[in-house]
Amino acid sequence: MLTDDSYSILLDSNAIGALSLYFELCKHLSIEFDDGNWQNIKAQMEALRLNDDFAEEHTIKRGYIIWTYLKQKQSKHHDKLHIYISLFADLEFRDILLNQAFDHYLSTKGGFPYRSLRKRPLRRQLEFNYKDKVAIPCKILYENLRQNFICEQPEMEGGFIEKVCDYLMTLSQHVFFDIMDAYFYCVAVSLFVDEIISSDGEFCSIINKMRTDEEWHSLRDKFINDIASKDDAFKLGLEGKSFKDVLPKGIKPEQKILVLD
Amino acid sequence: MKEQLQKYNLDRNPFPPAATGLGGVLKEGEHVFLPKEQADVIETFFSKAQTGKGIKIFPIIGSYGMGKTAVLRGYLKDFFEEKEIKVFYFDNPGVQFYDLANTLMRGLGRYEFSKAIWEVSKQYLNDSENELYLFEMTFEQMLDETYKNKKQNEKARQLGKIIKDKLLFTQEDEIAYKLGQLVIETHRKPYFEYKDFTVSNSQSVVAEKQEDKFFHAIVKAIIDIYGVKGVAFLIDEFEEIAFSKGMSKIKTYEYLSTFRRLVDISESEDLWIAIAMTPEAMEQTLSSNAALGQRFTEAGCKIELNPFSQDDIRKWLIWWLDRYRTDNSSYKGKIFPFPDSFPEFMAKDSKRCTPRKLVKTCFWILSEAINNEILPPFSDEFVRTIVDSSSNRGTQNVD
Repeated sequence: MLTDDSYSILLDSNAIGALSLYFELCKHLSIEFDDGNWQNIKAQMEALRLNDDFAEEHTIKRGYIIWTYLKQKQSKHHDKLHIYISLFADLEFRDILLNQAFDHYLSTKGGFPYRSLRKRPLRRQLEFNYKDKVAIPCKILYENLRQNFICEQPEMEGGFIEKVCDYLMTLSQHVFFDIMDAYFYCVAVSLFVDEIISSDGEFCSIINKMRTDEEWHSLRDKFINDIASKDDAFKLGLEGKSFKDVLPKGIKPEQKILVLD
Repeated sequence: MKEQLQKYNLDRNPFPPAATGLGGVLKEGEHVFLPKEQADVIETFFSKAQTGKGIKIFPIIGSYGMGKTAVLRGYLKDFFEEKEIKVFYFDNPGVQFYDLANTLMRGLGRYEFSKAIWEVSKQYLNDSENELYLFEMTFEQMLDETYKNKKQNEKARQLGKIIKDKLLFTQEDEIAYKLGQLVIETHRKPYFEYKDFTVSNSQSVVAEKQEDKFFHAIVKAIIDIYGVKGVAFLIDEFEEIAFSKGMSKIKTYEYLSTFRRLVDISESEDLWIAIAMTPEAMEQTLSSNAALGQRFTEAGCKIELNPFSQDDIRKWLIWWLDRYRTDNSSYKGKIFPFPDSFPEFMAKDSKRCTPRKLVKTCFWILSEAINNEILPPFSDEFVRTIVDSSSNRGTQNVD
């Protein structure tokens, strides 16, 4: 069957951010994304004393893990890995980049002490290079993903957001989620995504509870049944499967998710 | 060039160079060449299926370049229209049900469709408003008056009742009302948008979970309005976008769900559906859903487009050449200026015998012959040279 081969993953905004930082580092070090192991990369960072500029070492490492994991999945599923990045994850990622530019400005040119920064003063029009700080990192991220995988933004399809909002209304009747987490979860469910990659431990925990926790059993069943009663394609997708099979897994990007050679 | 063509007994080179689609190829009332066996399959199935309720769906299966689009647009379109069945052609409609609805309704046109429904409904309308006018109200006047008096809902309900009880387009109140609403709201928006067919949109013309019944109603409306005996959907490249990218799970389920609904509708309505797809797509469709596969088997009709046989090539070539023979030509029914050995030569390699490949090859043969003033009939050697060089030119695999 065709669908046995394909595999799909939804990337949360923090996963996208980590990937972007990893790509930026590789570009800085002039190394290919697929080259080498983490220890080598870390050693190069230390040798060039990049740890100060790339203070988020653990985020970069997550980016490395995510990239390696995606490539492993791609190979395992015969180049039929679908990566989904929600429009709202993309917007959150751009917000992260803007925040970084803003914080950098405040700390270097604005002359604001940490005491003031903590208060998060209102953003004003900054004179910073949007192209370098936001547009280019986004371009690099999506180009790299599209060159290597089937990468889609599901909201580009007409009617998708309305459908997800419908799912969201149904989900909210059964379980309380942070609204954006709930949105991403409903995106994943509507697409029959296999995994959601996120560094958010609570989010991953709820995703996995929905899938396998016995205490959440009736809640999960009601949610699925409600959706199936409204969506014929979804109902078709359930045929011959348990509810557990159709709900996504939550994956935190840690070393242990990588296949050891 | 004209002089050279006259030597070939032709008005022009009948073969288009691009060989994609049928743009400008067919004349009024013409249909493309189809091998007799396939034409017989179509005729037999139609005769059997039209006599009663049953699945009226048949797949046109063929690899790229085998002529699926030509069969749909250049043969089946005329086939159905001759039998007073209204035809709608869907080119790469997408895998979701409302993609089909969107294409269908936009093809009809909102204003024309709404006006037509009103025309057949007005004999049943309560004419108290109309009595105020010396002449019967036009559709536009009716809409103006309705909006002026803020009676949109009332009018939509009235029309819905007529659609359900008198015209019998549907037995569902909600669908009848939505159709009435569709007519009345033409005043505000005389065109369709894609979101009009997405059920999650509260303003959608399609009632929730009623997509099949909506299509039933539309099919009945079309039959009534246009005075035809049925409706035919000719669906081209239905699955190719999704399949070619590597089908994601949701696309697979949407595709199968839509497919199943079409099969269901064709069983109970005068709706004929021809779907063009590649052999791989057909195999994957059937293996993805055993129940669907069984329905297809029940239907018992399948048109497989295979490379032409030697005899087919001869007949096919005569069809092309006769269309542009000079008047009173004694070469009608012959393959002159092509050598008599041409069909046999081409049939030796099945890769050369797809309609698309044949069109391109014949175009090049004639084109080179004209440019080099080759005398007819063409020699075997000349033909062989052109065929070999067109293979090297990379015209072998066009898709």
